[in-house]
Amino acid sequence: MSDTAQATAKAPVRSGASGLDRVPPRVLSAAVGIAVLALWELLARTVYAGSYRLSPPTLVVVDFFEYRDLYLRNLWHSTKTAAWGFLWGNLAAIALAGVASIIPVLRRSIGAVALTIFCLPFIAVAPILRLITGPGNGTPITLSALAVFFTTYVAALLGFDTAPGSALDVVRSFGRGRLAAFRRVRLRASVPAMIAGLQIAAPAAFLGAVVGEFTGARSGLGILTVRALGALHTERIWVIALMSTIVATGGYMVIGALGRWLCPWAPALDVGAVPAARQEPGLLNRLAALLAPIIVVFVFWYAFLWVFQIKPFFAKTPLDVWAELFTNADAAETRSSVFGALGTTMWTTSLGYVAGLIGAVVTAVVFVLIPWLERALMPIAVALRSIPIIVTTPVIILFVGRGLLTTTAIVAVMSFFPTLVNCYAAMNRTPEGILDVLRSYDAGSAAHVRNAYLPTAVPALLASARIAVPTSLLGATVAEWLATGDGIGAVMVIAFTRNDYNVLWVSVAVLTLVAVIGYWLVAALELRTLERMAPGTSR
Amino acid sequence: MARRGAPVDVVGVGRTFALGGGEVEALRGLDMHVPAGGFTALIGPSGCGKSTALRLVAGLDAPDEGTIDMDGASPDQMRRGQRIGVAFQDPSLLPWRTVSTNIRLALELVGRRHDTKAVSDLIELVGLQGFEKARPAQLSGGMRQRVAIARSLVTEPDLLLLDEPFGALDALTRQQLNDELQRIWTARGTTTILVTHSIPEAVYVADEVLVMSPRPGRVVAHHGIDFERPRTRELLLTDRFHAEVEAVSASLHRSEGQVVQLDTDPS
Amino acid sequence: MAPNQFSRRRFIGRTAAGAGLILGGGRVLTACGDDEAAAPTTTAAPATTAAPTTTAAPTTTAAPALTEANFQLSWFDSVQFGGSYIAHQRGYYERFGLDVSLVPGGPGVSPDAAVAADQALVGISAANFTGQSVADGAPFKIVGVAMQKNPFVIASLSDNPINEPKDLEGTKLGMAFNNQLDLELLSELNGVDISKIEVITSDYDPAPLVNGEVDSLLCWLTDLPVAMTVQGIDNTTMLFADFGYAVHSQTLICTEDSLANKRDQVIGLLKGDILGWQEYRTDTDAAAQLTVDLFPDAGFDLEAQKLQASEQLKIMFSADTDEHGFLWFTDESVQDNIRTLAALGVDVTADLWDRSLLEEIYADGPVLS
Repeated sequence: MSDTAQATAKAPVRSGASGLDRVPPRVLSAAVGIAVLALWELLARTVYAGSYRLSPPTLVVVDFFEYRDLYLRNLWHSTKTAAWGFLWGNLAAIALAGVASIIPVLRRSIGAVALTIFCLPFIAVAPILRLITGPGNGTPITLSALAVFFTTYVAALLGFDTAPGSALDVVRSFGRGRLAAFRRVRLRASVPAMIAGLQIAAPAAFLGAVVGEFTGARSGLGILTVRALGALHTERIWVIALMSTIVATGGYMVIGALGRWLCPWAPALDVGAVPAARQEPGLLNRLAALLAPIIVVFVFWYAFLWVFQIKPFFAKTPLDVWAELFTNADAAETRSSVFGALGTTMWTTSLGYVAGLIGAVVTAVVFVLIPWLERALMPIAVALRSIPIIVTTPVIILFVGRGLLTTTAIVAVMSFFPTLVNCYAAMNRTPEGILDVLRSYDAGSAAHVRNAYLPTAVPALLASARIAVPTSLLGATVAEWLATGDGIGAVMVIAFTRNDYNVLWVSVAVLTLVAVIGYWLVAALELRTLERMAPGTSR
Repeated sequence: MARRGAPVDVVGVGRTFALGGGEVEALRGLDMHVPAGGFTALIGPSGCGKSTALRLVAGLDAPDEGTIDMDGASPDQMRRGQRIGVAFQDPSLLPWRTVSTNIRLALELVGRRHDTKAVSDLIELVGLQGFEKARPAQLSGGMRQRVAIARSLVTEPDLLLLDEPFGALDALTRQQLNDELQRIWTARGTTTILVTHSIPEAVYVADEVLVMSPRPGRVVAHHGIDFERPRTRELLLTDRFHAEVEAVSASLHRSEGQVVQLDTDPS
Repeated sequence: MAPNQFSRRRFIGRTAAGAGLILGGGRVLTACGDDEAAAPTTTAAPATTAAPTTTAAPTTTAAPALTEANFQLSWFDSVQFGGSYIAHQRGYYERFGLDVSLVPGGPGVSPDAAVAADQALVGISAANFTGQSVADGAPFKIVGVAMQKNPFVIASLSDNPINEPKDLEGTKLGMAFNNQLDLELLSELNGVDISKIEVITSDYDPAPLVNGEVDSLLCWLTDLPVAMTVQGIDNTTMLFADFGYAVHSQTLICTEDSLANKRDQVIGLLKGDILGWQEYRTDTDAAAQLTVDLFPDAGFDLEAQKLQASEQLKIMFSADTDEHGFLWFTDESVQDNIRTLAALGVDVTADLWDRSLLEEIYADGPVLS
């Protein structure tokens, strides 16, 4: 069969392929890049001239060199913060994943806490963290660490689980326990998955650091952005956006290269495409599965307040939140403001979320059918998925203005790029044999899409959709805060500026709950679908 | 028995792949003739280009030199005319479809989606009654291969191309499927090319066994197999079967020494 | 050991231990240490960073035992806090036995919360926020008012000016969403039909006005209008304070507990600050230059800082401060605030304000020396 593999790998796959297919990818990407730059320059100098919105790339470059030291100092500051957060967040995630792997009983509880952390709305958590860590770099680093925690935890656990059973059996046959198996087999086997997780963590850490700067830093790109917006330094906003993109993408690529160097045997994989964990059957198990995480999260909540000895003025317990929502004198008012705003947020977020997912699938299909387009545009898409939302937001406002559509657009962007990358990768992994069968009947594009590409991409789509639930809500609240002033994001910011900590905690609790429920709904849909599409193949 | 399908004429076919920085010449000067309704087995050492040859005939790839003609049509025309059925070592079933809808896939692709009788006939022919609603993951390896073969036959192609379809199966299942393949071929009479590693399998099912040389591959020996049909398992125990297997084996052995010398007249 | 000592100075008490738990102690503190280097704290600054205006003041102070205190500013660093930077630079706080750290704010910082959490001895807030906090049970007092006039303005382009609230009718206004109540109040006070104003969310950004997406912006006198002027865009500003909107802004707050137990420290901080601002008033350009020098990472435009520095004189000093001293507030202005805040839905009494410290400070006249 080896000759077949060679043949399929290098044979001209599609008859009637476009001439552009023969152009080297680098050349194509460069050509597209130059075209984009030229269009950008043209727009900035004509349509958007004097708008203080779009700067021509030439001026952006000039500005960068003029203020190079300033930019590099701030970039260094944010990057350093992100690096510390990256380090601590990932170490914690990997350590806890190790614990969960060695002591399976704890798995569900640790997972629940990790997911809850992932679903916490950053913009409301930042000020609360600031009250614990005080002024300085504590909040940005903590936020950055929290931002990477969940994805790395999932990736590490997946990595530990993918250890070959036969190797584990060998360890066991020598009479050694789980710890030895973990040390000798699982840790090593987990490297590829962990690398995939760390890749995603790099841009996330950067985002956490930049949001954290809003809690009163003296340096960093986040603050510089706010200052530049206020001072009409349009070039500066674009320099920052480009630098952030380069650093975040660079982190992503460096870790990817590191992974290929460390484990050249391992296939490229994306943690966004990791299937949801399966439920054990049985009513008792399900009940335990449902209750244990809830109890653990509440215990964690109380422990958090107790350990940090936060004053009651700021610290609200689950009981306080309950009281504020249902028993206090102004409970009805709180409910109507929080849930009313939540409704707005969920509506705009759902629109953007669905639009982003559909757009991603459609684009992935286009890419898989028109390879030269993919080669030209995919590198850009990979880069764009790493841009911190804080930096993208002003750019999106530039094109869609400020309004409900802004939130929708930002959420769509948040869910679009990761889903596109995952779905395309999945479609690209469609077994050659299936494609050969289709080709042998001269099946058209539509038949390829219907029978091969779309079904193959379904697991990746659902996994991406699941991860996109919390990230979309995060994007929505950031957009509401920075651009639209609607929804629960605005409620949280108003509550915070007015020191209304009851409403702040209620909002955080409700929004986190919504994100967790959304995550689990998609996870359940994912398991059902995988089970139905291909029984026995889901994990 | 009704002989149908297209004759296949392969003349002087060569195919070279770019691989890494260099080139790999998979086939050079491949000649092969399969009569209409014939059953030819292609055998050769690993990496000799058997599968490449099959993909060329299937129109999934194009030769760099030489011609392939099937009753006046090129492989690509045959493929576009949807007159070819293929089955590979990997059954390549769609995991999200059931047995019957996997078989129906081929009909859908040729625009005969509603031909339910063809599907049920094929399921019966390959002995999968009762498993119509099962999904690939619930089937054994042998059953999956039956589905793949049923799928390749359901459109009643003029040419059936099998690339080691039973390569991954155990000996018992393999023999069983060889019997069924023979039965099906006898019933349908489709021109069939089978690529295989197994000499006994080739001798058991085919009218003619072609032995290929190592890369660059070409046909270096022809063995006409004229055992009467239907062939049964008793045949496997006979001396003449063994003699035929020995002869093919000797050719194959000889061919492996022929990497450098170019024998242009293999017969 | 060094980082830990550092931490005790930087973080207040137990919260440092808490942060260490999450973040792993030493590492974080190292990172904080880097941050510190850029911040104007006397622990590091006077000896090493030889800023142009450094005087001999710190060395002449005999008292070695300085008490550490955090002063929580209301926003990112800028010349908005120029007087405090001068006080810091010149060692004015140290004269009164304090080692003050000026802590920058930002969108994610509530000065009220920082003070309530004992992370700052004194914070800069605004009467409406503080009033709300007090109503919610936080034990605050306003002990000084830095901005005599509220800095809110309606900024518009000079060729399409908004000169009085009535002009807002039939126009588009860009503002941050949490200013809704302020706009409602301004409208009510001036008989403006708010339904005729089309409000668009916009924050920190003059571009919508410059682009013509809106006709005006609700902002501070000292931020967006200054940026536009520096960019050569003629603009017109209309102060809320000139149209009946009386809300003390840049109010210095501390907890009742501090007033009772750390009264000397609070007074010391106010005195140091007052000295700084008195000097600021005499040379705003120098204050701007100091700000630019202190915070190289902010990328300040010196001209913008100079303009902002002189603009804010208009709202920080008044006949009242000339008569009584900087940070002063009159009983009359307190009554105006109570009325305005009530209209904003915040019910406070005159107890929110405590002028006793200023009265003590200015016992010998309105100028401190």
